[in-house]
Amino acid sequence: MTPDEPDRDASDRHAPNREAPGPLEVEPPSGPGRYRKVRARASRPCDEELAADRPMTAVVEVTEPGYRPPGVLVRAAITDTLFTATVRPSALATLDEDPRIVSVELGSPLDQSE
Amino acid sequence: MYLESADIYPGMDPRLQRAVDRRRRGMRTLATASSDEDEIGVLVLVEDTDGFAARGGVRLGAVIGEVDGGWLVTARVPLGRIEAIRQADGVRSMKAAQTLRPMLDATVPEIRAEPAALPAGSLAAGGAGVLVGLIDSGADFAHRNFLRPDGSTRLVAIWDQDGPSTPDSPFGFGKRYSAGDIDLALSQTDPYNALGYGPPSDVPGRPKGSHGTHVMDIAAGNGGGSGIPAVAPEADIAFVEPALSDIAWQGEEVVDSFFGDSVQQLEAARFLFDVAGDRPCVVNISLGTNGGPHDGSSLVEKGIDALVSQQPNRAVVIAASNSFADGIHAAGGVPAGGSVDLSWSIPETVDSQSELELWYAGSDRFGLELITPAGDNLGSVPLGSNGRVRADDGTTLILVSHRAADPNNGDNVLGIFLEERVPAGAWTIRLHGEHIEGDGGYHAWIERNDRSQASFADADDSHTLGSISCGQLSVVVGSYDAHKPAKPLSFFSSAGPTRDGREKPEISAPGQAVFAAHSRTGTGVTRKSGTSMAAPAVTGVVALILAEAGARGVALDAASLRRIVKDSARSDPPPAGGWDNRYGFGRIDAADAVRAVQKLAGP
Repeated sequence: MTPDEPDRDASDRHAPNREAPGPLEVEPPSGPGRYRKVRARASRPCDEELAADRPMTAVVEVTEPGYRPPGVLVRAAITDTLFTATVRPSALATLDEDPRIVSVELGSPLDQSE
Repeated sequence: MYLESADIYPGMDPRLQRAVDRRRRGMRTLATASSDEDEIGVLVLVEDTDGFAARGGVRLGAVIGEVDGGWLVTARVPLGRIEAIRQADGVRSMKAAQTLRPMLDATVPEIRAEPAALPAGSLAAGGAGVLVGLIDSGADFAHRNFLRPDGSTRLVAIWDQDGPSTPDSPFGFGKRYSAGDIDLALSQTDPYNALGYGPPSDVPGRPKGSHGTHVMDIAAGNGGGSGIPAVAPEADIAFVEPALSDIAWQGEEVVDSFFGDSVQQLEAARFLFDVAGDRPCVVNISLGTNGGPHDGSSLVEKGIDALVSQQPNRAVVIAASNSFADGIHAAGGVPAGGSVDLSWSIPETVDSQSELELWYAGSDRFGLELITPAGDNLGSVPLGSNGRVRADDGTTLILVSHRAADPNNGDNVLGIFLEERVPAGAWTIRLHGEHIEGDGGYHAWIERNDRSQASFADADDSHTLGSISCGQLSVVVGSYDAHKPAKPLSFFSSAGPTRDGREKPEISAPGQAVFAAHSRTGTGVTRKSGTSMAAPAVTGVVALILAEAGARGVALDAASLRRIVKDSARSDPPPAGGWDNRYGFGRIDAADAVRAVQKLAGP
């Protein structure tokens, strides 16, 4: 990497031992993406987060100005109908059924564009 | 005293002779930003660039252009090879490189942002009265480019989202530092320890200087330390350091590689506009990833659009991303009843998980099969279900989620996760057109992995904008090289359009080999490249636009501001009269943008 290229983390790591995979087992949708109103990064398993019911960051859109659904910890109001929040995976099913919720978007990691 | 005869080729530039002499006497040269140890930068006139580049030890830099029937090039050559290279066939002349001045000295004139370049009667005043907000990592508040002449800080606030929470923490987390806090710290011997916040120290082998300090300088440094004022040197500054500890995503890769998450970034923008209050404010974001719907439908992008719509004189400027050459995007169409194969190359060096997202119309239905590099078909995953392969230890080795009807845009999305232990090589994603109402079109993106980037075998380098760079009202910025006469695009600068066909990026700016503030040096500069370096140049210009408008009593809504930026862009390059998928509507032009505001204000 030279300064004429964007900064990137090129630190050395050890290559893992490879493992030949078995067949795919088809299963019902799992993880946050199984909920109709929840958008989560489709390629993230979230196994640990789900198992530990670990709070996740989210942006929530509601139909009714000022509405704050139960089960979410509101962090910042962006507009009357859009706010950021902390949500536990166990609360997503209830939010999914709430008619005053338009959608819940879980946070995803960002990196520098340099 | 007597002159000692030196056995050094006398037909050489005296400074090169001196360099050879110093080396022979055992003196070493230090590595610089552009040259390795015991290497020197040279300007060479050659007859044949390829032949010159092929010579041992030559590291060809830039081909400047045709001169006197030859080619003027820059290069780095080992000190031990200077004489041989100078005397080689086809080398007409070779001069030692002159000491470079900090390259913001090139950026600011190139975008016509010097006070003298602005139109007569300009009231932009270096962006005075405007708040420049930055969401980035590592603000060196002690660098003199961010101090006033009296030594007080120009930063009105820093929110360290990872800092210790207090009752008055913004949105309940992190630590907010006021200008008073920063000034108090600046009066101490170690201001970073005194404040409890500062940029990290340099680590050998890693990029020099913090990203955020560099970006902040390009937008709003005043040159108090480096001697080179930036685009909006009189603007106030506020900075948000994204949190790492608040991220739900766990794992070494996440902690090492990512800078906050999308939700915290939206909160950061909210915070910066709150700090600005009624003042004009432009927020610079140089963060993103590769995945996402790329149609502006994410709630984060909608949130940014909402923030800039809430009151006039607000803007958000976002780096386009650096993924143009990474092979991370593929697109095509799946015929009804037919199939297409998508080849996903996982490098042998892969040492962390690989992720891919593929989006297609909600009215279509694809079937999916996943085939290993060894040719083993692992099975198919119908729409509305998941497919999973577990390792012997019960952890997920492969996960395929095939979701119908995303809540924000109604499209279907396929997500594939490969754990790092899966075999490297070419994985095949076979898409079947089970039900196609339209053209069966799809777009797929591979997530970023700096250490071992996976890629598509048949990559399409369009649509490579970052995950949060596709909003309706943000200003997205590509990068070009301002040091070359032709102003070529940076090889990394991502391309539009968005997946829904909108013309982004809007604009481009110098982003390659940009010298700007080097954190923890007080006065120094360092060189970085990326669309992260282009975006703050535009951020600075937007600050000038807002300052000019404010001084003339003109309120600019987000659409008007975007129109000024686009309509005042310069062409040649890109070709006049249209939109280019990497330059956008052209190269940013501060002078014409300010002139447009003057015209809008009337006499």
